[in-house]
Order: sequence, then structure tokens, then C-alpha cells
Amino acid sequence: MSVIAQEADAEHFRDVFEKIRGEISTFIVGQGDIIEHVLIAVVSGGHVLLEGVPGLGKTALVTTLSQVLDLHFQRIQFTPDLLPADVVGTQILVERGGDKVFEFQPGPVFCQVLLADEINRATPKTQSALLETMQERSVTVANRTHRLEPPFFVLATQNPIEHDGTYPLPEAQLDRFFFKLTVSLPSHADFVEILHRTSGNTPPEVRPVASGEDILRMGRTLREVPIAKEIEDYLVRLVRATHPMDPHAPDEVRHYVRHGASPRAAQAILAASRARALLQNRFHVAAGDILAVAIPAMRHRLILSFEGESAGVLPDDVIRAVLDSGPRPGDDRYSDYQIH
Amino acid sequence: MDALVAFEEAVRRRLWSQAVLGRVLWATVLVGVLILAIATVSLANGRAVPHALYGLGLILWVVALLAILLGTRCRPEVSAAFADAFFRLSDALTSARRFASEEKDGGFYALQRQRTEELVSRLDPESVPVAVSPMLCFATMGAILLVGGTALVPDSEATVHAKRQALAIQAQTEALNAELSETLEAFARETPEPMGLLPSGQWREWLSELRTTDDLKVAMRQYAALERRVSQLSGRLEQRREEQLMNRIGEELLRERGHEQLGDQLKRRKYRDAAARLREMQMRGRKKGMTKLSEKRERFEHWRSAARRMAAAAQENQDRSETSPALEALLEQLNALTETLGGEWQQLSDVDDTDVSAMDEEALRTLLEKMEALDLHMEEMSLRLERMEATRDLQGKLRMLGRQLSQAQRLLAGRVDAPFTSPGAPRPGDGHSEERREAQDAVVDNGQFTELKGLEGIGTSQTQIEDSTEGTGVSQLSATGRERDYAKQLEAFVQRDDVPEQVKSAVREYFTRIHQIPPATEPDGTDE
Repeated sequence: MSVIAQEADAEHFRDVFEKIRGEISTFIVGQGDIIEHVLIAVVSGGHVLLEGVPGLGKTALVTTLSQVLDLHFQRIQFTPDLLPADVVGTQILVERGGDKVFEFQPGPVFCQVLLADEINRATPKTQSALLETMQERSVTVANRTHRLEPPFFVLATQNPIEHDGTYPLPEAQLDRFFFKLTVSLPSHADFVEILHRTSGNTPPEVRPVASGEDILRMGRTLREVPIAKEIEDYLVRLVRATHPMDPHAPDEVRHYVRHGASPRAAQAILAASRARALLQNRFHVAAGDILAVAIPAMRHRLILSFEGESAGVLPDDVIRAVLDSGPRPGDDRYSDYQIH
Repeated sequence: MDALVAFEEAVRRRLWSQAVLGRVLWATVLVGVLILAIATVSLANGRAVPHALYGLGLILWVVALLAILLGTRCRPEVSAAFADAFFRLSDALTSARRFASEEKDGGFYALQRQRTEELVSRLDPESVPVAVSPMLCFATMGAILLVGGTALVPDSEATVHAKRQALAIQAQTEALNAELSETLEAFARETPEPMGLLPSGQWREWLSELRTTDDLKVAMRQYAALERRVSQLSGRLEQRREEQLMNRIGEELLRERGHEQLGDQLKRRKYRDAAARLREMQMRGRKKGMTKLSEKRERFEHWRSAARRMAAAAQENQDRSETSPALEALLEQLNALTETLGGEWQQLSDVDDTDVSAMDEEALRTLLEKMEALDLHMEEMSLRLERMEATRDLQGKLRMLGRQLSQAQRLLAGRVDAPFTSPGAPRPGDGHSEERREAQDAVVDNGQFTELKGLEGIGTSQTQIEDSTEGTGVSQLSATGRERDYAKQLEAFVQRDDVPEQVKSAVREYFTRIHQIPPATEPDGTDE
């Protein structure tokens, strides 16, 4: 591909990204990191698990995103009595031309932006119904596979404090999520701004600024961003260091982690790093990009050991230990020299 | 040149300089610490640091510098990684370098390179500081100052004293060795010791062992070792008993008319002269023309009286348990042969010189053969005497050498102030009597005296018992010559003007009273 075309793609990526971010920000106050990470996951073709206490704007963020992207949006409120068929759809008997035939009735997953609200309230069986959808972007019912229209991404939310009547997501399900983002309490200024924006008679209006095609193009663009072998090695070394048996694993990992991050984590980090590089007007992935996205990409992929669970260790702390312990690219080579 | 490569090269040069500077400072510190450690040990021992140490340290430092200059490398990928970190290029240079090495071009690769070139064009590689840690600089300065400071510390007083002493000892050993060498050279120049008394080249061997040293212990050990060897050799040559026997023989012969000269020679230990005299006494004689039987008889008779005296002396010697078995055996043989020959002569007593031809030829031949055998024994005796003379000479030399070596040790030990005395000269402290015009004949042990050595319970008693009447009085028999000599010497000494009269009288009183026996006290009779 020509340099000019690539440059145009990169320009398009940044423009669209900033437009989307700007438009979302007209409704969502603060949460800049969350918005950026959600958008990075979206353009990278990944799904996002948003975790936070009720009332922090998780659902609002997702609905706003769907409006901004002008994509087909569906919402599923997960409850314990929700059945898989309620999610993916089912065969119903219909009369057609005098014959009674089974016809597939698509479920709410047949959309482009799926909000799986309070996903941990559904039974594991229902949660698992989303597995194929999230990974293959298709639904198989009665031996027939139905493709979902791209782009498709799931934005799930879960409440970390209410554990009664919830079913923790299985590891396989969690691994499908590109990022797990923790939505925190807004700052004082953001709080005030939220009050201002939502207490009037006219809520802020959100316009669609990007299409599905834009998202797909952005995805294609970011996958072209090159990464040097040194940085790639660093990424792999970092992900491997989350496994307790790895020789480079820090003590925190050895003590508190049962299973480390999967290769999907490395894929997610690489894709997110590429997106971040483009956003910073770079055409290569830097070690800093990896460090910036490592925590949201790996925190839900670490399975803590009993010691970790009982000690109340957070995956974020373990990942930070990994990031701090591992040598940065080049560190081992210019350690003789001092940077003043 | 490619802008990125040029930029990397410039950064690499700066890094190389920084690395070299740092390592040179480290090397300086390490060499300094090494020198300091050695210097501290030296100073702790009171010695100033030898200047050679600084030279050695400098050489070591230069070698380290060369090794650093030749061994320090800075690879381009290292400089790229450093520049990324230093200029906050977010791995742009490293990535560009990698993409270039993998020959990836076009698309984002070209954009990345172009963007990186734009970035580095705004950067100055000279802004990479060639600097080292301040702590390292302080450590280097400190090491240099401390090392320099150690050079200013002088020797301690004790060390200065020790060095002075070492120099003195060196000078002393040099002087002592020179004198010993002179003695040994003089001995070596003389005719080699006869009769294999001393191994050939022994003097020169000892001469070659003399070493000049500044170590007192080494010097003392050297002289002591040599003295011990000299003493051992001298001990092996001991012939006191033989000389004692010869002395007795001399005394016996002095009583025999016609043998006074031989007796005197033996008594005065002139063994070589005695040997010559003995040869003259041989039957065949040195005098030509002694063919008459009467002359031979007369000569034999002359010898016979001497032989009897000798045998008597040997017997007396045996009686006193002061035996010298080899010599006594020789004397016995000589006496027995003489007595046998005496019998032969007895049978020929009526034969005159004129009728020798009428003699029984067999008897005459036997007589002559026995006389020949007697001559051989006398010759052996002469040789024995010559050997004794030679041994005595050698012992004198060894004693002189031993005394010199002993004196050398005493000098080094500070017990005397002067080195050796020549053979026969007065030794320090000998002095002379004020009462006598000529200098006192100092008792110089130049090999002419023998030392009494004995084992407990063996040998004759040195004391003599004198019968005397009961009561006080000075013994008529001198207790020992030594005591008398001592009394004379001390009484002569106190006659000096500076000795008070009371002391003079006290000394006289002392020597008078030590022989007075206090009157026996009567038992008081109260004891039960």
C-alpha cells in the first residue's frame, strides 16, 4: 500500500476516533480513560467488560456509543431466569403457504452493539450462549449458523459489590473480553458537571459521527501498524511473566497467581497498542503503549491462587508487579550508561 | 550518510566517551584503593610507602586504561535504545533500525522512518552528556588525594632506626667478611693442609659462603653456622691425649742423658723437630758411612734407653687412664722390638767390628732385618709426630677462625666494639700491668693451649691431697696455679695509683684470710 494511502488511513483513524470521543464526551462527563479504552477495544474488534457500582454511567456510556456510531444497538438485561434462546434466538413454528415450518427467530444478539447489562446475573448456561457470538461473530441454532453483521461488539457490565444471585463469569467467557474496565467514581468537578448536564429539561443531544464502515476501516488500519522485534519480544516476555512457572515471573505472580494471561491477552495488548500508537501520531508500537494497555487487557485473565484470593490481592497489583519487574526494551543493553 | 545512522553514530560516540570516562574513573579508584591498601599496611608497619609502589600503580593504571580504550564497545543498537530513552522517542529509533535491518519499506514502515527522521533532525546528539556520577568523581578524587597523601608520610622513628641499624649491620658484615676473607684467603694461599687433614678447597668453600647482609639474624646465623662447622672440624682433630703422652715422654726423656734435646722438643711440642731428631736416631742413620757394627750398637743402645723411657711414659699414661691407644700400641711395638733387638745385640756382644765377616751370616741378616724393622717403626713414629704438628697447626688456624667468627657474632650482638684481633695480639680487656715496664704478656689463645674437657667420673682427679698437721696455716701446696695467678693479677692490679689504700689492703687481706681455717668451736653440750 502506498505511503499516501497509509497516511490517509492513519489520518482517518485519528479523526474518527477523536470525533467519536468528542461526541461521547458531550454526554458522558469525565471517564476519559474508560472512553478511550472502550473505543480502542471497539476499533480493534474486541468486547469490553465494564465493571463498576451502579450509577456510574456504564449503561449510559454504551448507549451513547451506539448512538454516536450509528450502529444497530440491542440491550439485554441479564437476569437469573434468562434463557439462552432469549439471547441468541430460537426456532419457532410458523405457517407458510399452508405448511408449518420452523423459522429462526433472531435474538437480541443480532445487532452491532450489544449491551449485556449485569451479565453476571444470568446463569452460566445463558452466559455461555454468548461464547460463540463473541468469538465467531455468528450464532448456530438448529444446525444453522447465522452470521452477525459486522462490526459487532459486546459491551457487558457487571456490579462488583452485589454477589447474591450472581454467577461469576467463567474463565473462557472472560478471556473473550478484550478489556475489562473498572469504572470509578467521577471527580468532584465531573460530579458537578454531571449534575449540570442531567438536571435540565433538555438533555444533551448526541449525533452519530461515525459509521460501521468507519469502524471496520479503522480496524484494518491499526492492524497495519508495524512493531519492531524488540518490542514484540518485550510484549511476549511480559505476558509470559504472568505465569507462575515463568523464570521471569516476579514473586507476586509466583505466590498469588494460579494461571497467567493467555495468548489472547497478548493479541489484545498488541492491537490496543497499535491503536494507541496511531492516536499518538506514531507509526510504530512503543513499549510505552504496551505498558498503558497491559492492565485492562490482562486483569480479567489472571486466575488467582487460593493464597491470592485469601490475601485479597488484586490482579491489577500483580500486573503492576510484572510491569515493574520486567526489563524495558533496551534496558539490558544500555544499562552501562546513565540517563541524566 | 543516512540521517538516522549519523544521529545514532553521534550518540554512540558520546556513549562510548561516557563509558570510557566512567570505567577510567573506576579503574583509577580501584588502583588507588589497591595502592592505599598496600600503603596502609606499609605505614602501619612504620615504613614509608616505597616509591616503586606508585610507579607500579601508574603502570597498572595505564594498562587498565589501554584495556578500557580497546575493550569498550558501544553497539549501534545500544545507542539507538539509549537515544530512544534519552530523547523520549518512544522506541522510534529502535523500531526504525529494526525495520531497516529487516529491509521493510513502504506503507507505515516508510512513514515511521520519515517521522523518526523528522524527530531526530530537531535533536542535538551533543546534548547527550559525557558525565559520570558525582559520587564516582568524589571517590576518584579522594583516592588520588589519599594515595598522594601516603607519599608524604615518612618512615617512623623505629623504622628509621631499623634502617640505620640495617645499614650498620650491612657495613659490619661487609667489614667482618672482608677480614674473614683475608684470613681464609691467607689460609688458602698457604700450602694445602698435609696428610689430608682438611678437605681440598675447604677454605675457599667457606670463603664463598660468606654473604653480606643487612639482616642481623641472617648475619648471626651465617657466622654461627660457620663457627659450628669449624668447631666440629676442630673437634674431630682433637689430639689432647696424644700431646699429653708426648709431654710425659718428653719429661721422661729429659731425665735421660743424651735425649734431653728430644725430650725438650717433645715437651715444647715441637713435634716436627722431634720427628727430625727421631729420624737421625734411626739405625741406618742419615749419617753416611756408619758401617761399623760398634757404631750401630752404640746407636742402638742410645735409642734403646730412649725407647725404654718412652715405654715407661706410655705405661704411666695407661696407669693414669689417659690412654691414647694407637700411639701407645706403637710405642709398645717399638719397645718390644727394641728389647728383642737388645737380645740379639747381647748375643753379639763379643763380636768386634773386625770380625764381622766371621759372624754367622744368618744371625747378621736377622739382626739387620730387625734393625730395618726398627727403623720402619721409628719412621712411623716420626710421621705420627709430623702429623701431630700439622694437626696442631691446623687446629690453631681453626681456632683462630672460630674466634674470629665468635668475635663477629659478639660484635653484631653489640657485646664488643671492635672486630677481630690479629693472632697473638692482645684482645680487648687484656690490658697490661702498671708495675711492669713491658706490656703484659696477654694470655692469647692462639691454638697453643688446650681446653680441659672431661666427663664426670672419668679421668684422674684434678685435685691433689696434701697431708698436713691439724691446725691453721697456709697450705704448702699451691691449690691451683690458677688461684695463685689470679691472686697475683689482682694484687698487681690494685697497685695502681687510683686504687684507694683501703682496697689494696682489703685485697691482700682477702687472699691471706681465705686460707685461714677458723678455729673449731666447741659444742656447747646443751644439745641432748
